[in-house]
Amino acid sequence: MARYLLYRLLTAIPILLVVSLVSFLLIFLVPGDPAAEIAGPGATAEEVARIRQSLGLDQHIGAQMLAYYGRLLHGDLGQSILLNRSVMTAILDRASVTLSLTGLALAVSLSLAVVLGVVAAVKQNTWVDQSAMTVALLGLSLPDFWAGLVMIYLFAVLLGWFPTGGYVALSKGVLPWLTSLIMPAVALGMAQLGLLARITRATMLEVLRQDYVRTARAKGVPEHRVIDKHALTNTLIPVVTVMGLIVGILLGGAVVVEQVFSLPGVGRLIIGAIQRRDYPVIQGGLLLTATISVFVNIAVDVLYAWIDPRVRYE
Amino acid sequence: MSEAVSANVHNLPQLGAPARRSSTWRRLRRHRLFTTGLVLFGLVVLMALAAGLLAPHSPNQNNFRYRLGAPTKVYLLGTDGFGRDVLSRVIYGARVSLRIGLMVVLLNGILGTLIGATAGYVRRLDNVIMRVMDGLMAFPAILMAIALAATLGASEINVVLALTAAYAPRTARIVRASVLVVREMEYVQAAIAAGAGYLRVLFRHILLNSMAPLIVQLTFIFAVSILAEAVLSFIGVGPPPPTPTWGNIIADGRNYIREAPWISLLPGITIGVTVLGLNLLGDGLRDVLDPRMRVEP
Repeated sequence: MARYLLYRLLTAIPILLVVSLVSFLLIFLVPGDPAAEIAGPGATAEEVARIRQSLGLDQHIGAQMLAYYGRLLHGDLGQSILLNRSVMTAILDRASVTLSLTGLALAVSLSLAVVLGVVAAVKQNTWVDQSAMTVALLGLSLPDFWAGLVMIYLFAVLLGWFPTGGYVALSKGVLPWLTSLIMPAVALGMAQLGLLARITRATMLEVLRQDYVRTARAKGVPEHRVIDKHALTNTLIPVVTVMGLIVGILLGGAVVVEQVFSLPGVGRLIIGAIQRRDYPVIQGGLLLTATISVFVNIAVDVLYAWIDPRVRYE
Repeated sequence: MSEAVSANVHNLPQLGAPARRSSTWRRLRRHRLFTTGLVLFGLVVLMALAAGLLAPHSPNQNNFRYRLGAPTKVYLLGTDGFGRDVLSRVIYGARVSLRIGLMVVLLNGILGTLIGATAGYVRRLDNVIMRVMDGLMAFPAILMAIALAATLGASEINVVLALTAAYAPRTARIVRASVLVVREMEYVQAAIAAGAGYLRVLFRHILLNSMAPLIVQLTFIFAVSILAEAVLSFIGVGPPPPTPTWGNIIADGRNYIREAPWISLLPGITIGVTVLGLNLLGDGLRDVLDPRMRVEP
């Protein structure tokens, strides 16, 4: 297993190199002078020059790249121009909100999807199956930010069950924390719920046709035991394989959902940076999110290899 | 969604002779989900094409005396914060969303095919190209599209470029997987043995027979592009105002969600119908082209 882990870590190196290079090159895509863009139309030449110098844009691209990788090796993502602080600190300060949101969205989508997928497969070709798959398809088709707005209107404005926005830290109690995050988590996890439910259903149907399931039924094992003990465990293996992918999608989706629900997370930081052209924050946010996705994928692959040893030998 | 789908569609069998294509079309017409998707998506396309006839008002015509007006006979779905007719803006918004989606699909098809075919056919370049693609796919697609669109500047063409850059690596992976399978088929080996040129083998024998997975993938890319364009417009990096897009109409309504919830309601439903139609089309294509991957029993 250690060898497999080492292999996966080594394969991540070229990916991280591309990720860091793309993040570095992003600022060069700005039409015209990035420093002038950041400074705004009313800025003086001195202000533009100061920003250019602080970003290192007055140096040769090779020197800029060397300085960039030097900083990265020390865990330094640069300085935010508008917040006047380290990008890493700004992101870490808000990371707990984004991680809470994506974690809860993953939990909500996974638990509901497994129930929907299993029920749909067990009740194949009935109205239960069709209803469950309709819910899954709707989840995949509706925009998450719009679903968030509809939820705000229904459950916050009309019914007053939840706050319209804002975040309560977990340290202030589980219930207030959950109350502040449940609507954003459902909105964010909706599409993944649809995807996972479809995968669960398809896999469950395949597993239910396997010989060992037929044998268990022939032995007289009650149907609920066949589902719980024999089929479900094997159904969950393909679900695990897409978890890494889903975490990446959720981290991306959190950017918009945080904006809708006024959650002070990394996504909102990035949107703020976009609106105020704070490129170091955009680059840092992009780089860190992609890096997290890469390592989550490695963790999922290792978990998969642990569950299914055949993977290690391929 | 497209990422997960992409993991499966490379197993699809290849489209063959004209007779087989007509049989494929017959099976598609009989596929309930495909036809439902075709009708839903067709209605949205018709709405976009006939926007000038269907829209009761100009999408940018203001009526400041009737700002945030509730639905009436004159304004069937009410007005927004500038007194503009919401229904007309949603109808005209279909043009922008579909145009962007179509351009992303076309560029994705071209770029993804070029990159994927090169990686799959030119063995020496495969590893380098695919590691670069892996690196690009490490970015959550929507976040990459947001960062690119924000950096390039808010405009329709930049949205297309940003979405193409975000999704092309996924398309390239599908095409490469398909090319790798077809490359080893006997008829390709026979063509090479018969002296067919490098490019002729690639374009005539390999790519033509690798189209089925690409078609399915592009249908899903169309769907995610519509959703992603709405996201970009919602956060203000899409086509600039006053161009009506479904995303920026929802964003306009967000500020008035308490007093005028109707502003955001219809564009969201329209996006849902469009994407649902495209997802059903994609499901239908996949089911017919590869019965092993069927979702619907």
